[in-house]
Amino acid sequence: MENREIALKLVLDAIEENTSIGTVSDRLRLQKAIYICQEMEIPLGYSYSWYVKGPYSPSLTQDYYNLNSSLSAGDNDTKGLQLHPDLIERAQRVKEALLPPPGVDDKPHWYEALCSLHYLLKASKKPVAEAKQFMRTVKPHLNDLLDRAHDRLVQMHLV
Amino acid sequence: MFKDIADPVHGLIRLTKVEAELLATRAMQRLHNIHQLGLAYLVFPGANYTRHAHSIGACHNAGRMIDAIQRNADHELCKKYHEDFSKYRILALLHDIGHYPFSHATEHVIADYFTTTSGSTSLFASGKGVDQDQQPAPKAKQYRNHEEMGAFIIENDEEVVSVLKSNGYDPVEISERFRLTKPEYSPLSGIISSELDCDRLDYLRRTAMNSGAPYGSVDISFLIDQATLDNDGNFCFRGKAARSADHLLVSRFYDYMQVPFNKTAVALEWSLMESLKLAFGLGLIKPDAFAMEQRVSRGSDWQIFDDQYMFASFRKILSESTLSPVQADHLNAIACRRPAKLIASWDTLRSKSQSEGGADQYTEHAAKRKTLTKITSEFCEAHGLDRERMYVWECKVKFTKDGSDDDVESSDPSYFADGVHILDEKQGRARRLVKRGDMLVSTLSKAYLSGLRIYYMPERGDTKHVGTISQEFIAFAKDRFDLPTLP
Repeated sequence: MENREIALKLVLDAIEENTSIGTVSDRLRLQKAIYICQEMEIPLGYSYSWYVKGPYSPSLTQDYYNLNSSLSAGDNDTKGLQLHPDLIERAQRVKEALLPPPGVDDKPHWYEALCSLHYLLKASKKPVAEAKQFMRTVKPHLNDLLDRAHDRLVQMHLV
Repeated sequence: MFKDIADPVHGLIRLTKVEAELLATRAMQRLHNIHQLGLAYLVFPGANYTRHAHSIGACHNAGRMIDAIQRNADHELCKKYHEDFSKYRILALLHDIGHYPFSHATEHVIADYFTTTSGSTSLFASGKGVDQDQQPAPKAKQYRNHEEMGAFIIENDEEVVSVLKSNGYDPVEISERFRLTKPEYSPLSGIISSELDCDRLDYLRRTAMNSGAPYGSVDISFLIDQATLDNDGNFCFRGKAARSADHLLVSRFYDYMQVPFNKTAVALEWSLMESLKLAFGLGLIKPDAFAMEQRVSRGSDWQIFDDQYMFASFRKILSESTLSPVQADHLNAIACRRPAKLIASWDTLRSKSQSEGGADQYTEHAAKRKTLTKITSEFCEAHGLDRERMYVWECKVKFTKDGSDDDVESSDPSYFADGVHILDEKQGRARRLVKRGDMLVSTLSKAYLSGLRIYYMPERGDTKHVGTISQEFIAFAKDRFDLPTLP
């Protein structure tokens, strides 16, 4: 595996997200999980822009397809590399941030709500009320999660 | 005030006042000294055009696409975006302003440098087990890619900011559109960033014209004239452009294989990347984000940071540093055009495999790459060759980008991020070109070119043993690997 693939694999292992990309939900889950990782000081180097389902990184797409191909070819050789201990520590906080609140079963939807709201507040620099209103307009399926997503962002000092 | 510029690809190009003033800034003039195709001109002498000429062409294409959209799309919808149109021409002109010398090769080396270098920049543990002396891990990205550099320049370069402001444009807003950070700005962004954007539509024709390899000579004029928006404001092309778009995607494949992935161009790029690593490692060039931002803040420091600056650094290393023989050979490969030699090649069209759930995979390529890398190391050991002189090059050339699977629906984040979209006139909705069974790319999207090659860097350019090494390698690998397609 290339070093970028190794770094991605090690981080996904550390936050206990599997590397599967078979479905739209899988790809969305990976996109958003890595987004939160980067916001919580695990700098993998991906740039995100706003697309149909919130923050999305085309270069991450290329990397998780490559990683998935390597793994399916039996290449899981991480060349003896391990994640920096600081990053392993930060990964624990990422897991806390991503953990769906009680009663929320749809993990991809939760990730989408959390990351989309964060992106609108931080990257698009929208005020909270405007960001929430925008979400209600373009993502009505996430309405029930908005307030809890905002609470989580505040709790984790992400906004 | 307008400025007319004669261009060999598009004819006469007319720039508006703000565009002409932007073109005169140091940051844009710098692009005169950044080759679009890296070192490809050492193989195709005419392929020496620059990002400056290309940027003007991209601006022209963006303008023509905007004109076409105004003709072809719903007038009420166009009114909504009317004030934005001039901004997208500006974005097209500025789209390459943040490129490093030698463009993508340098960016790739910088990204790799900050993933793997030990010390305070590394994401990995420094050794086996926990090292008490290891520096803390970085908290933020250590480098900027060319798009992030571009956004930084638009917001911070004194001249660019001044030109934009004096012409009534907000640099922050232009930068935000550049980075696609505002969701409201997305619909027209396809003009600037998509598989058939103003950039690619210039690049293919310009490369074909300058390199003498005519594979990108496609009917871009007709294609551009068919640009439009669907009823939701998504950028796409009218139905009659489907065949032309299909042709372009196939032509792009031939262009990649003939020019950037030419066997000697790849060899030179390997040496370029090794030389860049050396320059970073010796501290001659600081590739971190802060150092680059400081260059921009000083204006003239960014202006001189071009291909020639790197060549001067390489010459300085050659004359003043103590180098290993391999390092010297890489530097001389560029300075004296003494490229590494291809000793075997397995460029092969393969079918994508599917994961559980249906995502595309490149399993066969990944497995072959792994085996070939192992064989190469064993061969070097068995024959007493320096592993540093052998290079396993790999590429996957796809007809459409990853995430562009046939089954992807518009709810997938990648639906409008990648791919070519053609207007379904009845529905008023943009649909993926690859979904049309009458398009060649519909079938080709299930395949990819798996490029695997072995290069050898001869000592001091002495190529007399290369043929023997090639034969020995093929003989060594034959029981465990396919026979090469070349040489």
